[in-house]
Amino acid sequence: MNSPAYLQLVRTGLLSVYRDRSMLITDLLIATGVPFFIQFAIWRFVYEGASADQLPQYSLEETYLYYVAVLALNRLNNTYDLIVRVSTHVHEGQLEGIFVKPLNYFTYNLFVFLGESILYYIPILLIAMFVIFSGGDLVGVLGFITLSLVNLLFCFLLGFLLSLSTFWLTRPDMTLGFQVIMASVIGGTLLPIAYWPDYLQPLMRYNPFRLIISGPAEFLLRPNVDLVLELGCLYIIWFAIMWVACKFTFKHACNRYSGAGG
Amino acid sequence: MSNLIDLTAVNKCYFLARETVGLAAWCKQLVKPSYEPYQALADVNFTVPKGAAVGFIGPNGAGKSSLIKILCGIQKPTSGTVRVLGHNPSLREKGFLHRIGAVFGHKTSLWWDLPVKTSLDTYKEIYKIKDVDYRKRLSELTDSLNLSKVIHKPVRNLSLGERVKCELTLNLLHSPELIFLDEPTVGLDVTSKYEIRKYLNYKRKESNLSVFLTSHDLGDIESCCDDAIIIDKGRIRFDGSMRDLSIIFKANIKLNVSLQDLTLGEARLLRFKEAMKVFGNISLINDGPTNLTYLVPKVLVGEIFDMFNDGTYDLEVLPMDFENNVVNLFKSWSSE
Repeated sequence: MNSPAYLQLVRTGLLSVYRDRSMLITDLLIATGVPFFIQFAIWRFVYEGASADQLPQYSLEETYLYYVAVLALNRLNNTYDLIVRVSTHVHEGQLEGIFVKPLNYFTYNLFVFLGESILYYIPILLIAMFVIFSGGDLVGVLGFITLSLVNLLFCFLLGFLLSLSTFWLTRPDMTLGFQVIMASVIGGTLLPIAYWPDYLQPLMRYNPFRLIISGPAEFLLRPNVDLVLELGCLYIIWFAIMWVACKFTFKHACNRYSGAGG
Repeated sequence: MSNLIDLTAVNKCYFLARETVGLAAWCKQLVKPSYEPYQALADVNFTVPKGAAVGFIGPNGAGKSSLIKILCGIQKPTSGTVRVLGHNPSLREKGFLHRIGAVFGHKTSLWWDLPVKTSLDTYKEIYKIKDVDYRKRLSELTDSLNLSKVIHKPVRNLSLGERVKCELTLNLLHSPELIFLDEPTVGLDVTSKYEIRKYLNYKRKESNLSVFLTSHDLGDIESCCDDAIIIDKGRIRFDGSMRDLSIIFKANIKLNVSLQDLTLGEARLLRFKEAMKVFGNISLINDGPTNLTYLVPKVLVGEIFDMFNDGTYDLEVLPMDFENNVVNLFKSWSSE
């Protein structure tokens, strides 16, 4: 494929999200706004009952910013559509129509996914602008924007690997549930890593979902070299693992695929 | 003459997970799954020359779609050699995929919620079609298939016929040398079928497009194909020209039997059926309350007329149509 083809796939992905305006409104307003107000209420209550130095890591304002960032990242790094698309292709036999076209299924999904993510990147930019205008650290903002962008590629790998499970499953629901729970719990959407018990810290720090959800948010709040190095190493290791796993699983799945009947 | 498709000793075997009964068997299947083999294609050999239009006929589950998927590169054969346009399809080389088109009548490769034009524009870039060629071919296809009012509508709003014609448009835009059509007219009205057949015949004449067509509507095969391959239970039962096939079919006629006096009732028809049992190689096509229809070899017609010349029955000899002949073939094979 060539660059115009990639761009066209991105455009198609963008249009397909734009067409489904009800989903867009649900995602951007309800699914982001409601959890934020819940967190807002909880943390205001928690901070009112405790002196600031009793709570580790973050002030109340920083906690609010953390939740705004992770909720926006949670919507951005959402592979729901990708998993449903692959599942539909597999179960309804649409994969056959794509396999006879001169395109790579992995690349096809990557560029459609990038297109689908464009509108969800706007809240990230709005948060970045808000932090800049409220006198935040420019390095943190730039790191947040860059990490969010680079992590889209990793998020795609993770989602694509999960979506391949639909070659073996009759419905994608289990995979979708798994993805949502993992991103919410070990990704750090529900609770910042610092608030988890010590014995769970290794899991919370080194799981792949942290890279796409809480990692950029932590950098926005406390930009430092150690965090960049930690996230960079995690990115390289998990990227390599996911890449190999995707290649292996896809090859195995294609050999197993017998089409959806005649 | 170079061959477009070359198949040698192709076999395809699927392994299906065994169905279980009871909890213990289910647990055992979960831990250590066992599979049952299903032979979809057995020792398939045939060649298709360049520019040919081949109709691929067979009953449900005969192996038609499996073979089309192997020819397109979607599936690999269990054994045997497959060459299509000089390529091994299972490698899915881009050069090969640029030279073929494939329409699966009941599966879509268009974006469901987006206008047809968006899908066409996307595949224009994927196939690297030049702007001039794209405009020319799109205009020709939309005019011929009556799609000009359709291509700006979302795919989900199209009728089945419109969607299949859009699929055909998508798969012909890059001007392939060979197009695979897997039941393209299933569920379509007569007008849509006519438009598709007419356009395929036009493309064959105009750009020497080769066609490999499977259909349960034998009108498609009769209208578009010069050659036919008949498959049953994964085995090729006939491979030749439509002319050869019609010569075989012309050996039979259709014999319509009815009572001259309808008041005589069904008992007389039953008596006729009993009497016909002496002939081994005839088959009953239609068993109605007031009439019977048989497929009869031409050589037996005189003998039958001699048997029933007492004026009780009206015997009408009609030429066998293509569809009835094929049905009879399938019936005779299924009893083997």
